[in-house]
Amino acid sequence: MAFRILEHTADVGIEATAPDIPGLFSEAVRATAAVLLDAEPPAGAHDRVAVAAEADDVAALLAEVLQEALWRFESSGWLPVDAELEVSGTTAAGTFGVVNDVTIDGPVIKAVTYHQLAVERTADGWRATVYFDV
Amino acid sequence: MKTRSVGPFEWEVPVGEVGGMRVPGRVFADERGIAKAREDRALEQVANVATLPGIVRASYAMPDIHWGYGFAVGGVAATDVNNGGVISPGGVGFDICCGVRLLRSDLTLSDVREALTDLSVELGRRIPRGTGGKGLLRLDRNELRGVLTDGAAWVLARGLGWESDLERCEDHGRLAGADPGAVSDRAYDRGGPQCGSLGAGNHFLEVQVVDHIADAGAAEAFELRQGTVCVMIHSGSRGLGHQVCTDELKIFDKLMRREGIEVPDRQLACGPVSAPEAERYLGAMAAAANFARANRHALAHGVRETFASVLGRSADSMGMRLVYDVAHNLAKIERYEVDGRERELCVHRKGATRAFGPGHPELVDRYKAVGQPVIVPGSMGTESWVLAGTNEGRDKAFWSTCHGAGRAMSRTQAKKRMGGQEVRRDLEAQGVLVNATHPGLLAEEAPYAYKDVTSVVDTCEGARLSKKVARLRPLAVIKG
Repeated sequence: MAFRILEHTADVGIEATAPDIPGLFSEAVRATAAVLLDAEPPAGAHDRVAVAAEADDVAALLAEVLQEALWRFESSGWLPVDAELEVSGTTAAGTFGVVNDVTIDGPVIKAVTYHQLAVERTADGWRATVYFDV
Repeated sequence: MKTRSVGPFEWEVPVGEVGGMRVPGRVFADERGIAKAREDRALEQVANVATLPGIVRASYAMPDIHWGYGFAVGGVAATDVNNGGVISPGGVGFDICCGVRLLRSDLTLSDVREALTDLSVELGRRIPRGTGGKGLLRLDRNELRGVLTDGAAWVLARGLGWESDLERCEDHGRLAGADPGAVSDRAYDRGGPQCGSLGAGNHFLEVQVVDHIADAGAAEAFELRQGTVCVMIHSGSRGLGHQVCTDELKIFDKLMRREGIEVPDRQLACGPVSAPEAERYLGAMAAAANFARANRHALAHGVRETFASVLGRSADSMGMRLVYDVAHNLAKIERYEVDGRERELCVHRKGATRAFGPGHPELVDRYKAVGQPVIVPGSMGTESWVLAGTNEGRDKAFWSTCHGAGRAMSRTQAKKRMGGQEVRRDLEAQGVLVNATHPGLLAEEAPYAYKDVTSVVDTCEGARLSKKVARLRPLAVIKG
């Protein structure tokens, strides 16, 4: 599992890879936290909060999960840094691992866009591409 | 992506560069600007927008064009409402009705020089800013519905601001057709606490001085005089607008599939303006636009109160009148003649400013002879400009012009070049006070991350989209 931040003139993107879809979603949550923190998110055991999402396809479902992660942070101050999800077709349910008392040194994310939004199979598993409006 | 020069500061992206283009792309740029647009993916986005059903004339890009999401930033697209034309929430963007408000004053530089540090500190203390945040107005749900319906007029009715503010505001501070019932509970939750807050990112509040008059007649109509102090406010619809767009994107993604519309980028999700979903979106968008207008109106009230408190004089005695309030992320139904017939068009401006020319009936009498004021913020620490709309602009690009300097460098690249504290020291060495809660942000928003705003407005003038009126130099910057 891995992620990288994608360059964009005005905004910012993430690319996450993982052997399976639940792992991909978790890595994308981690990448989103990395954008906000401008640093590697803390690893290890975290407090967990429930999350559920639904969409028409797997790429839109990932966007929905990331929107939920951002809303969780905006509304409570607890930042999701990983996810343990069961992803079944077009629904996802499980928990976010969350941390608080974090310092936001990266750009503020306004929203998850559908610009070049993709969840694709690769030789080793799955790859996701997501751009944020910042 | 092929381009060919079709006139001074005008470039065409021919039909065919992207499959499904219905009209050409038309980019207003100088040689450097078009080269820069070729480097990132902005030209591809101009071509993508040209595939929207019902688009007329061209997919336009203003001189501050750069790679955005879906639409290029600086993009303008008009669709024929009664001929299958579509509306795209992504073509308005997440920060619905993000825009700029400019206050002028009779104060001179010498009136504020000694108080400038106090003004900067006190503005930073009193004006809510940064992520999330609680605004100057605390609104319950009913009050928020009032704001969504009536915009700046609702805030004025609560005793904040001046009567004259509304007539100097696009749409008189209230976009008609707002439907607060089309706004989701989450958008209410996000927006409720935030009315009267600046936000973060590229949003700012700046104390400036008029340091050059380019058009004396228009400057006089706008009450801008050499050496006088102004305050510029750049903010939008905060979390409420972001949530409206997020909600609507999903709805239009489905609508597009139902209608069998195919676009090259999913963020361009769109549907016929005649569809019930589009009517609902226009109502929600207008509500978010009214929130943005109310937000900037409340912020301006906070600025006037702060000046009055620090300088020990009433805002009225300092002549702190509004010059204008413009949006640069909005879609509007406007009427234009296209191919010899007057048509109702849905004009998307994504990072572009409406710029009515002289004589336009919607302009207040004071501005009728000279055209609509257009406020163009520069990058942090560099000059900003006030422009005026021209009548050539109507046929050039549906009365549209630039909205800012336009980014030239990614945030990562900008941060690699200099740290936030270095940027602050640099600006202060140039005599610009900086009050920022987030030093990292200063590096992301550093002046070198943006294009040269003067070359952008020169290109707008060269292309006859707008004309230069006055240049404003920053004295103090307040950032989220």
